[in-house]
Amino acid sequence: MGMIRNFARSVVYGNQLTALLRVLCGALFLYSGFFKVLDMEGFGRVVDMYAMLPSALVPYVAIVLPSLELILGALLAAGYRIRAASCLSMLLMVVFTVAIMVNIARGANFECGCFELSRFGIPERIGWPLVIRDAALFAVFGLVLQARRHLFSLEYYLEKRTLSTL
Amino acid sequence: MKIWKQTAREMAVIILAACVTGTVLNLVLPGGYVFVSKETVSYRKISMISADEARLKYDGRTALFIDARDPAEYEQARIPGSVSIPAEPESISLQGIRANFDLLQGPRELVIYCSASSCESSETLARRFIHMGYSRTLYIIEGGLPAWQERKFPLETARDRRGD
Repeated sequence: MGMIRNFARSVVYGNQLTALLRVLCGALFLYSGFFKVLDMEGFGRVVDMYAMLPSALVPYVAIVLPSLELILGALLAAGYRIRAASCLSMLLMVVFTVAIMVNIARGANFECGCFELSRFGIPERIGWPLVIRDAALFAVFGLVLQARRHLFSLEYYLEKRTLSTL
Repeated sequence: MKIWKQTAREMAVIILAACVTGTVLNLVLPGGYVFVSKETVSYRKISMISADEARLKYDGRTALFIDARDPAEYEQARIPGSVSIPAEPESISLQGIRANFDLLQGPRELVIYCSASSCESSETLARRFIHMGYSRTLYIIEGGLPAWQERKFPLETARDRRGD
């Protein structure tokens, strides 16, 4: 029991697992942002299906969101500006979850266009499993945000280098 | 508190970077958006058709023909059943549109013609319709009345009306 508690404390503080989760989430954002950026108009049509924004705003969201995912993905995977990147990722998860929940309430049934996982045959239709998944991702980003140590990160490397020069 | 201020600043920078990157990628990559003015979008409702296509609409009685030329030219020769709304001068044109407003808003499509392929009166008149709130597609006969005449399509002349 004590071992599990110690491991949990170590994850919260920031160990290899925390780093792995951060890199995986970064890779997920990079992957989804890459495919969205290749077809921004197609992504715009998905955004429009949520019926949450005025049509005039949809193209702007379809242009900015994939790039935001790419930048957040790169920052998280490389481990640079982790605090800001994980904070923004949490905000994104809140926005995605609310949009999905509103559409569940409306009885909508379409591919959510979230992480382009349907390319691997993983269904991403609007539904409660997606809400749970996004909530889990929100928790992971929260874990990364509050971690004090980020192994295998550019920040960790730079900090070590600065300390060694003192 | 200081760390949160810094985080907020970094978040703003990331969002700004995403806006710039997104705009650049949208310009560079295929599959992006092309931003055009509202005016350009509304002018896309103007469609050029050939005299043969116009004839089909004429035979099907699905279209109202609008003569964009001078009233004097209209009196000399016109497509039977057409209405004269000169494209110029603007005041006369707008007066003509208002006078025929009910007809224009009817179920029939509007086909505009003028005197030659180079004449811009048809397009000028079509733009006036759009400015006045006409929201459906407007058709313009490519080549105008001469193209219609060349194919010996029905024409009503001043002589016909006099009964010569």
